[in-house]
Amino acid sequence: MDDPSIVKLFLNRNQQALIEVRDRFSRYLRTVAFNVLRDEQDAEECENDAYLSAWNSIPPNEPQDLKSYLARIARNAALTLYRKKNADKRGGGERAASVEELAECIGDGGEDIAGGSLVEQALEEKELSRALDTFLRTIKDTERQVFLRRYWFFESVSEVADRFGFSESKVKTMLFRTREKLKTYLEKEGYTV
Amino acid sequence: MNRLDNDKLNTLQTVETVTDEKRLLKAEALSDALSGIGDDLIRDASDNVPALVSKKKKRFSFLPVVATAAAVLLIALPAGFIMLAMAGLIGGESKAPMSHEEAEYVLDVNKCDLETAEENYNYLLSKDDPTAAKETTSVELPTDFSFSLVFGTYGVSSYDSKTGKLVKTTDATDVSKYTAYVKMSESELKQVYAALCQEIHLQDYPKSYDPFNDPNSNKKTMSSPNQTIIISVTANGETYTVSCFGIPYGSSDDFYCKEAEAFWKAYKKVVGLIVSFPEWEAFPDYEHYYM
Repeated sequence: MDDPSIVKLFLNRNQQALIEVRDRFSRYLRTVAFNVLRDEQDAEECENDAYLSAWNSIPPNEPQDLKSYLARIARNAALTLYRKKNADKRGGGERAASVEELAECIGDGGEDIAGGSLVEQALEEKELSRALDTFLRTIKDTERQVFLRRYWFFESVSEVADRFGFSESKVKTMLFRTREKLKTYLEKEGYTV
Repeated sequence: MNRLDNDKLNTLQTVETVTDEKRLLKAEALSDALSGIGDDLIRDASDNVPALVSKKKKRFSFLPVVATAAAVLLIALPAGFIMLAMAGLIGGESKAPMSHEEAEYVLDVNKCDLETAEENYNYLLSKDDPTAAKETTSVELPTDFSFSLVFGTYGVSSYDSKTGKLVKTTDATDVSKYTAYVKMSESELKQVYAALCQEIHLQDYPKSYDPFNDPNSNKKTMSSPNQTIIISVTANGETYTVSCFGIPYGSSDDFYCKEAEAFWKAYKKVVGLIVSFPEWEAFPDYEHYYM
């Protein structure tokens, strides 16, 4: 069954939709969650959360791209669970390492040009997402794919290197350059200097 | 260290920790905001990337070569012995001689093993260093060999092996940002020489050439923008230049003859080598694109 037909099942409140998404996306969603949590059971929990969230959100939503829609839900569920589990300690794993690297995109100063901190601006997350989206469309395809495998899917540098057939140092260099470009872009957009 | 110093140190450490936490929180916000990028970008990074193979990249090890050599010796020694026996040089009459076919088979197996080992060796070397396998081939580089290449949309990019001047684009506000000086290694020059003077013979092509359009046909493939390619090679005291103007984009498989395809392959090989220079990768992105 293709994605639009599954979305139709959701819209018609037909529970067959859940069976269809499980058949089609189970492994993919579990991998997305596992990359954040590095725990099979937690990843399975997030996968189930994704099905439930999809059931509760379609309708009113009518996703044009079901796979990406579910992946985003699974990623958010995994990030929430990760924070819950690591509330009192700084966790390890790829997610933590990936966030540490992203910190390089932000200057040392706590304040930004607009006067508020980026944390406050997180309330305007949509705006920041739009800026990131625009930035990602300006860079080369491979750079973007490598960047997203690392920071969206939380794959390790060696996994990204294996996937693309690059050396780890090449991946690190690519990521470094993209982070530098992102930093410049965000500064230009007035986020943080 | 007195108490004042200790207080100062504690304050500094606290400030550092708070700054660090702030940066991490900002990075977290950035990571969260990444969730909201377009579906098409997520799908592209899911579906249009190579699958992850869990196997680690195979590194070259001498062990298989040694093992193969040992195996070859184990087979070759008795085979040699049998050959000698067949020739009546050694051995007793009671021993049944190997038939001619059997002997040939054993020798062929040995030959295959050696060839396979050599192929594997070159393949594994080329995995780690794409130039290494080529070095094993006997390319004799003329002492005066040099080349230059103008390429890209309307010929904005170029490389000259003599001066080492590499230009990503002349169509920029500050061309110096897109210019570097890179000397090719001998092995790289050998690859270029092999591509332009051995795999094809550049001098056999007309001075003005279009690999996509048959000069005898009225049908023309065009595109806008288009590419300019000028290849110039100096070897053994002679310089030869082939110029291609108005080369269309997007017709890579549409060659009208084998020579045209070979020319294009050779050109792509040389360009591939140039754009893989770290210096090229380090250039900034183009300021604008042609529409």
